[in-house]
Amino acid sequence: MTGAVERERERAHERERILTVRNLKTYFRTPEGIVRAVDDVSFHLDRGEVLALVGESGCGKSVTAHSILGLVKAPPAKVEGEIVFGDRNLIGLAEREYRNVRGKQISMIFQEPMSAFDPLYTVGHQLMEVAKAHMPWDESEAKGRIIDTLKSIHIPEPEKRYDEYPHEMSGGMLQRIMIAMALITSPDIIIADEPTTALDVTIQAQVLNLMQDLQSQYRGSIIFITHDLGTVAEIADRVHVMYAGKIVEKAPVVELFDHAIHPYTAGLLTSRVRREYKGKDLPYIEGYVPRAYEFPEGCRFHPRCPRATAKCKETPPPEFEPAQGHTVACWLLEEGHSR
Amino acid sequence: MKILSTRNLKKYFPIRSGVFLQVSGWVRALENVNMEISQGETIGIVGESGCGKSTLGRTIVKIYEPTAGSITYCDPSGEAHDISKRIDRRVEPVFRKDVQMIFQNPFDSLDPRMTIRDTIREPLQTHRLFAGKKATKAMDDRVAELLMKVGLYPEYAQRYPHEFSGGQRQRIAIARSISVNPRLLICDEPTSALDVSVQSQIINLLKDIQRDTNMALIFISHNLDVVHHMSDRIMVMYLGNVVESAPATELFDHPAHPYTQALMSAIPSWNPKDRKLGLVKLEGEPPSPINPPSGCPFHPRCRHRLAACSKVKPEAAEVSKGHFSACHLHGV
Repeated sequence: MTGAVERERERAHERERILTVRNLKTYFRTPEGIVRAVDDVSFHLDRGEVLALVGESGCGKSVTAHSILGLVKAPPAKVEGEIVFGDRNLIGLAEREYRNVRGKQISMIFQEPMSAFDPLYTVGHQLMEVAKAHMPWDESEAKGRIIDTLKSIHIPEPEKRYDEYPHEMSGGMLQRIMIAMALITSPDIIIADEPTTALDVTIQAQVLNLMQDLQSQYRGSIIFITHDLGTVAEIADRVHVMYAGKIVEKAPVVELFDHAIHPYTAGLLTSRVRREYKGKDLPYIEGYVPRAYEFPEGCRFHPRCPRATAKCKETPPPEFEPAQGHTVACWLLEEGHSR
Repeated sequence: MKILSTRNLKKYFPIRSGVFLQVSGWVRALENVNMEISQGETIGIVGESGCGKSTLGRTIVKIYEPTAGSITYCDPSGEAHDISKRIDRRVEPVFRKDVQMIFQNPFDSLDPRMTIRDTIREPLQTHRLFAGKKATKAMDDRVAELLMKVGLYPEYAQRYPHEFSGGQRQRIAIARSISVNPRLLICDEPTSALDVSVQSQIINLLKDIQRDTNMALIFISHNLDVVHHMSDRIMVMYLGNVVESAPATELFDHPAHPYTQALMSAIPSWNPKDRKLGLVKLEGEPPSPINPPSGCPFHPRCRHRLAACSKVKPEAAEVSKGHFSACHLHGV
């Protein structure tokens, strides 16, 4: 493991580390019991990369994003660990200071463009709110910048769009306007929470292309949250797979698709509906995602895992690093199990 | 054996405005749809949101009244009935039992105040499938049998929908719909609200049930891969029109219509070494069905547009056996 630490240090010299999350725990108290929505999650983000957080509903990927942005109200929730952005720990930051980070240095794109905008105001007004809150521009300069941003993401007739209301636009157009909103302040990090899930495939392709262009233009970093491994293959540099509040596998995107090790990741990859399966049964993962207040003991995936052993039921697995930059939390890798 | 067919089926929804709610326009949700489905067959309907695929499903089960065109239903004895207007009183109970539907969102389609037992019993009671003194016991047995069939424990009958996950709820919805032994099941996006790992379970379940009962399926989805897996025949819809229809494998091997080609190019590759989204050549978004383009509905976004495309609406032409495409490129 020390070798891994050294290699990490070496790489840190080459790339600029922009965000480090260490042992993040976000717990909620509910009538059913304590929900350990994010449980001891650590990862980092470098400048200019796209990091995908993948998992099914309830795995904690959105709560991770909300914790980074300080959107989890604590108390009543409990947020512990470290979220180091620049040289500060964001956990415990005063709300007034957080406002300089949230929406300015770290901005967010939400899943449902239709419900993320206020239907009573024009989109221009809502874009202007962001500009006024964070940037030192006066009204006319801000408007010019907003129109420029809309132009840069290929929105036709930006001046006309500026004065339109959300209901006058399609979902794909609104999603692009939300991307513009996230870009106005030139953030260091954009967190995109299922940005294309509500969109049709052809529009999804357009939005993904757009995000890719922007990312190479601005050298910003993106945390891309999704349940769809298909889009991950298209856009991500590195992938972290989450299950039941834990990161179970971290790998560069090519490595993950070629050599997935964790049985859950492997299951997700085989769950894809391939054309060869026509006329046959589709492979699938047994069982269901457990509820957040009754996560199993030991490895949280063990009740659904085809390769679970007695040990998996008792002790949560630590992270193993079978290849550089590829870590897996699974007992299968103990004692030099090779792939 | 044929179960249902439509001929030039149209559905327009009125747009009303003003104090007196006068009709100021029409949403042209379905335009001249022809289809036919027989026992044991699966027809897949794909298209993007707003293309009319759900409207088609709902018009066939008569949740909506068709604006024009005809729907013909053949009862189990093989007798054909026109059900496009009001359904004959003698035919209606047979039709309602014979054609069932499952919906996209299992969080909305189950009554939260009914136990699973009551939910599954309701169609049995409505259609009076069990009579006499032992009806209650027989129905409970049937509920238990159905729950087992969809992969749930019979003890779950006493529980309420909120106690189940999305995948389990969709299984309950399937149990309810097959409780009356329908001959035709319409599935409107049955897996798109579910997690990926659960989606395959539901697809396998539907296929198993179909194999056992030989029922026909109309499978509506925006997911091309899923539709390909489920269907014998696929209809691709765009702005209320069927632009292409073909046997599933033929459609995937030789997509003829430019819209179908564009749709297929937009499916992610699942291969990070061979990214393909940059190659998708489809600009713009589907126009509004309130004011559809003249001529071919796809022409404003089409890369192969000809002069005729904006003027004349192309008729479906047979490009190979059983493979129809409504495009001037393969016009007659």
